[in-house]
Amino acid sequence: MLTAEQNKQLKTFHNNLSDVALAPDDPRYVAVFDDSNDPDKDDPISEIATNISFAESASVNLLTGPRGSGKTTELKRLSHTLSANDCIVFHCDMSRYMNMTTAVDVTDFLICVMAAFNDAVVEKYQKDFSQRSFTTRLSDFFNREVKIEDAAFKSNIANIKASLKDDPGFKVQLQQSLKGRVSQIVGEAHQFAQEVVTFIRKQNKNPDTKVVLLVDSVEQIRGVGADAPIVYQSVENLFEAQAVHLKFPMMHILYTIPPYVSALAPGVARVLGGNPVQTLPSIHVRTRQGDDDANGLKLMFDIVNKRHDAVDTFFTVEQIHELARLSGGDLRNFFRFVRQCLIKVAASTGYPLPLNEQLLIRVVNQFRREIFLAQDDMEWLRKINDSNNHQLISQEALPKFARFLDTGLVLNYRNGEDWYGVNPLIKAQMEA
Amino acid sequence: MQTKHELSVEGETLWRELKIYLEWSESFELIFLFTDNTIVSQLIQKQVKALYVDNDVPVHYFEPTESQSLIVDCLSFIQALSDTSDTNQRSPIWLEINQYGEQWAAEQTNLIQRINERRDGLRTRNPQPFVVVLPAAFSQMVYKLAPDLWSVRTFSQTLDQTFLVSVEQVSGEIPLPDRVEDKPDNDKTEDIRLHPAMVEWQRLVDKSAEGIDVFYAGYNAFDAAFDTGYYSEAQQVSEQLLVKANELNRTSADNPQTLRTLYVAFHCKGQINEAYGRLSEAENAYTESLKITQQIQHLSADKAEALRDISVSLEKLGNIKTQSGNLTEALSLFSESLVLRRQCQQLLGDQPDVLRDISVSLNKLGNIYQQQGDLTQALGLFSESLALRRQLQQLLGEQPEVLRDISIALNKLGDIHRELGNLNQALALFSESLTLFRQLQQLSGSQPKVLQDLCLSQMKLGEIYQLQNNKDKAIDYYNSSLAILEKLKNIHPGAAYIEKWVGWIEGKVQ
Repeated sequence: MLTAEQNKQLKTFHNNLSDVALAPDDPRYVAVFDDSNDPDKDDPISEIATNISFAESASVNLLTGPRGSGKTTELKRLSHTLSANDCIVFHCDMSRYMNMTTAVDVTDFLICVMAAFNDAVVEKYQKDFSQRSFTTRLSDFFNREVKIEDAAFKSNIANIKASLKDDPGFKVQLQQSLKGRVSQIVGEAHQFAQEVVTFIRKQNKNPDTKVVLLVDSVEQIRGVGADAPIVYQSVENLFEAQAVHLKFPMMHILYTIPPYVSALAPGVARVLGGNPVQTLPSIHVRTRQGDDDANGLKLMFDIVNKRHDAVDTFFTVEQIHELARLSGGDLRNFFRFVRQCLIKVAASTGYPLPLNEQLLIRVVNQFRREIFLAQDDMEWLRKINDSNNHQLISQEALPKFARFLDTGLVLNYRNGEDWYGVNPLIKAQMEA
Repeated sequence: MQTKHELSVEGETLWRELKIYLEWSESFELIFLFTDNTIVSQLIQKQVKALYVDNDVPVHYFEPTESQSLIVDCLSFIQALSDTSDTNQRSPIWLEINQYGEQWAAEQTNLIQRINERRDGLRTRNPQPFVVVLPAAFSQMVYKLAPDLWSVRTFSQTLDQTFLVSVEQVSGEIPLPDRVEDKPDNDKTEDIRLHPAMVEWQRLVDKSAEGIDVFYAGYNAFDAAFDTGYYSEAQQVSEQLLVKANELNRTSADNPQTLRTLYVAFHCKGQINEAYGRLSEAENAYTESLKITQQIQHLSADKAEALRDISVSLEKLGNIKTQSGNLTEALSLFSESLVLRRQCQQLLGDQPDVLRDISVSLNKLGNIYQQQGDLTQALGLFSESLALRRQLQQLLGEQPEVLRDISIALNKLGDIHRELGNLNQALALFSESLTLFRQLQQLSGSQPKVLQDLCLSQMKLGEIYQLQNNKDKAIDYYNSSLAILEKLKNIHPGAAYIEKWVGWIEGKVQ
């Protein structure tokens, strides 16, 4: 039977592992990608910060990585670093503005980005920000240029943020009405950005102030169901043919992009100024040959250890390493495994502490049962497992590959170069 | 018997874990439960509601009533709960969207995709446990339909009948009509004696006719009386048949054909004793008939007929063992009978009679497993029986007997699904059965048996709707059943089953 104190500890430990992005000054934060102690390691965030500091006027940076790899947490670190270097940073979560499962056009994308930027600036400067808002600017544009007759459409324009997010029908209507007016919308967005940067520099009393906009969550755009090909095609168009419009004068902008964009639009980084696409891979807990990476396992232990100061009350180091191995270095899955172990202990009266192997096996089996594989999925995954390559043979197969990454069936690693591995929970099945 | 359920050990373990997730939650925690088993989800739901009963704000529980408005209703429900800063308001949000049926599946798919689009908003605006209960099939689809939600899930679990345990048998089952409801003396004799089979038999008896054909004329008379409930007359004929069979065998010993008359005579004796509830006498008669069939098997060239006769005797003995509560012996007898019937199938192919015999054996075995609480075995057997009866429908067309057989098989499967808690499947099966009984009514008219079947099906449907808390529909079906029972009262005045059925319905609606 657990003591009240042990129960309290379990709860604290469990809740410290909840899925929230940590700021770098949070005591639970571990600098997973920080290269300061390891010169052989790439630190994507540090490289982006350097790119911005080297660029005098404007730059575009791209960041990608699978779900749960810590993008939002690392963007907080980037924001922290840039702010320390006198940059004014705005971090916008685009999932609050965009519908992530419908086709995207450069016009509605820019409208969403600027609407988010507008809100972030208003939040920071409150009443001091007296410029014409982007939504007002947009309404004026529509009244002037598009001449809307449809009352419902007109009303949606007035509430464009909500309409774009929640009304796919309106989004299509908007895209239709703006066909042939891309350059005008781009012009409106760029003009607004320039006005805002000018305003901020004036507020800051420093004409050299760098304004950085972190456009987060764009990596969540993906097609679902029958519309999937249309959505992926629109993303390709956005980051290939229309990419040039994603650069903003006077401003440094970072987009988080879906991992599959590099395959869809290999030239995107070049078009956007040449900064390479930075990737946050899964933690390197294993080598391509399947051997343990001691550094990766240690890092995973450190991450848990930072979340609770008495980890050894519940787990042995080897048990944490085993859960880390089975997570494949995916932090979300790793946390989920650890949390479920803690729940099982709290729910039971029979488990001794530290935990025994039997409980770990039950937890792992429980998660293994969640994975459902169709035969054709299995065949592709087997090829990935055998080759450590993505084995993407055509762009038509991209939605499926995106799903593999999204659902953690395939994990992306980097040591020297990128390679792919299958989720360890299904690896045994692959090799059977 | 109707089974009452509680959570099994696995179910209790799941509940304890779920409870801790709910109690410890300080932020958004997404939990997926997948189930077609309405009883498991109801039990879990009941526990959750009890957990928050003392809270200022109970569980934010959503259960849709209309598939067409599912998306709008559910999203509005979630929206209304957003942005609350009061921690007391942060009771779990519980979306019970595991309704069964094609029209629901499309809307559920759509809804889960819409919630997926709102994932980040949900996480920030609803910092509380968020439980989504979906049909079991979604456990294999959600990761595709809603990858964003799936990637932030805290926990998921598929709930099936292993999470349930039967704790007690309660007398909730619809009582069957009494086995012996002999026609009252004052109105029966004249009718059956005018039946052509009885007239013919009487004619032959009067002239002391002999021969195997005479014996089978008597057997026809027995059938006519027995099937219409004239048991005294049937018993009288059965006694005459035994005499005739013994006479035949005295003159022609070791002849399979004459031996078979003895088998038939004991069979009739067993049937009538069984009908009167004299189980010991019935068992003796069937045992005799079995011995004779085994003798015939050694003598006869017609192996298939011999096998079938043995299988029938075994089945009859199995029935007696079942009624006397000896389920293990009954199981063994029915199993042996089924083996022989499958051998017949190998000898004769998929003939309708053979298929029907097998389906009857499967039902008998299924009944035993059901009584023993092995619902999984029963489910498999009843499913196979239903498949055979559908095969018979293809072979024979929509004959009343075939339709009735299918309806009965549907009801048996429906009963198992109800006991397993799969109320939606039970509903679908009982509904199909009712449709077939209505078709049967059109084909055969409103005969008492048809009315009984119609009534029973509607009582079963009413019960399912009641279990699903759809009281209006339950009452509709109960009222329809009561209307049929009124008609049956005129046909079978004073019949005990009518009072029992009325009592059963009244017990349900109280």
